[in-house]
Amino acid sequence: MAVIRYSEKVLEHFRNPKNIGLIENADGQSTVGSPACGDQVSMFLKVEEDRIADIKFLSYGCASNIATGSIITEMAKGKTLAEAKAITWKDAVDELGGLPPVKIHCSVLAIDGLRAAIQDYEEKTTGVKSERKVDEMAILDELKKVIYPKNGINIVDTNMIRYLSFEEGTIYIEVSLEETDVFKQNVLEEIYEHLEALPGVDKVEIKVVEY
Amino acid sequence: MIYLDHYRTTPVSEAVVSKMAPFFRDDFFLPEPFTKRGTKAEEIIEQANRTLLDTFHLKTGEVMYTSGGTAANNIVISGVLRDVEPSQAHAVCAVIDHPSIVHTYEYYRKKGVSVTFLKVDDDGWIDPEELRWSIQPKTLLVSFTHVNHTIGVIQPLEQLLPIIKERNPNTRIHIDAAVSLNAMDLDLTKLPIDFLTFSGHKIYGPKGIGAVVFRNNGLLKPTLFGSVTTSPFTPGAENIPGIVGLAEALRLAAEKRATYRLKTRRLQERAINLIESDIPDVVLNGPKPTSFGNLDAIPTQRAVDNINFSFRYVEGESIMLFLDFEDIVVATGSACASSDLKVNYVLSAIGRDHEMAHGSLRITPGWDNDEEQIDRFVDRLKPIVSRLRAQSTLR
Repeated sequence: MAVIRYSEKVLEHFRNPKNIGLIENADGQSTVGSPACGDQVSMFLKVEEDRIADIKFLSYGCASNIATGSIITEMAKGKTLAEAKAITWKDAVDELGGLPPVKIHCSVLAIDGLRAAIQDYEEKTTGVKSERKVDEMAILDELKKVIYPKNGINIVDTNMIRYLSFEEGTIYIEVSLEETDVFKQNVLEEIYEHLEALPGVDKVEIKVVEY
Repeated sequence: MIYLDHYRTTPVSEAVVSKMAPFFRDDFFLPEPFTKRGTKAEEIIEQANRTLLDTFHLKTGEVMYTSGGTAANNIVISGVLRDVEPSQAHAVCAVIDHPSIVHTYEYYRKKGVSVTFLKVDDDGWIDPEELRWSIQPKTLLVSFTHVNHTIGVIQPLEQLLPIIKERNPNTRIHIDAAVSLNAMDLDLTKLPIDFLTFSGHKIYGPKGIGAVVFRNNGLLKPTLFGSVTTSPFTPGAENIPGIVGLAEALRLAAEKRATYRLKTRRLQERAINLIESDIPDVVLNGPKPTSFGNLDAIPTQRAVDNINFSFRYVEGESIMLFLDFEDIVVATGSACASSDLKVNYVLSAIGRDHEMAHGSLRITPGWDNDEEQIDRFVDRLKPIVSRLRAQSTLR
């Protein structure tokens, strides 16, 4: 049995989070996740000359959610938008001194929030909706945000997606999960949450397979 | 430290520790007929059996010792269901029962046994009519948790159990009393319970020991095999220190029950009143304790030692950790804090949405708490909740 605990750095950012709060009249903002899934993050940006002049976040979530929001805003502050977009959840987790695998999905959410806030800013300033066409590659990219809590690696790289199709608004996927897997329900809920939010998707059908 | 998680586990009382001590080194022998030391060990177990039966007011009956409450529930359910033709068997439990009951029945359902998982209402009560109509001629076993481990709701056994036997006298009744016994007396001469299960570590006894008290084997078949000395259902070396500790813990629980009830009720009342008056947007999960103020009445709705609140707009693991920083120990129903990331199923069953379940704390006082600690706990809790709310997306 593994000991599951937070690093000192995670606990420090949880106790005294940096950049917590909201920015009135933010240049870009986002809210990702949902209370139903246990965590939600809002991000607020002030942009000056293509750089993140100020950034704040709010969090409904557990310690790792709050700590990741804190570290990511620290990392993004002062960076150009392009640099900030390039920050990955892996960078954030490394900066935090690691997270238990079961908590990795919280860090993915915060990165999502940062990117969505930047996208919001870009759409507002250019007036162009940069909506990505939803195709199988885009779905696969979305599935990479679903983390398998047992190993802390996304379900695509864990090789759990056996089949994927997208036709007439319906996504059909086959996911390899054992009947007895304690995370089965969590993984399925996360898949639904991510895919149902994609534009043009009316229905998500998941078949659980054991091979 | 302020320890408010007695439904998870309790410290072993000093009296129990001293009672157990001789059986680790001086009297470490196992039961065996004829020899001096072996028969002495047999006597020790016999005495423990007597204590258990007496506590439940039984003149005759049997006892088996297990590794804990989970093993006890498994041995009973598997003992009844494992060797029967699945299509000929039916069993009943409640959706809010302890995982050692629900998961075991889920296993047998997959094996083809028909199982009714009774729903509960918003306070956690089973509907007597639904129970009545769930009982069929082929119903072999009904299992309930007497006091719920999450929300402390007390199932009215006096009302529910006769319904089962009325519909089918052959149906066996299994009651899990793991968190009942500090505060509540169970008189098995008045209740038609066939199998009663509990464990040591919830009643200030040791971990690694539990028991099944039963009137007769009934439908039970062994599920473990090996060398049998005391009970055919639990072969292998007896955990004598554990057995002695369990019996002493149970004896003391029964002896001190009235005092325990008075003490924990005061703490419960104080905590509930303080939380409701000091912290906005909180919801009590489970029934309201009855007769606050009337300390003589024996509560029948909610266990005296259970408090469960949802704090809106915040997540429970965060609250729990901030309390942990201050050496205050409670439990949470948040999925984030569970090892399988599932939302608390008891809170879901009583109609709480995910957000309410995530923001829940279970607070279970016990012998080692006093009113000053409860005040201090709420005093610390208050700023934690308001701080987390201030930084929440849901405020």
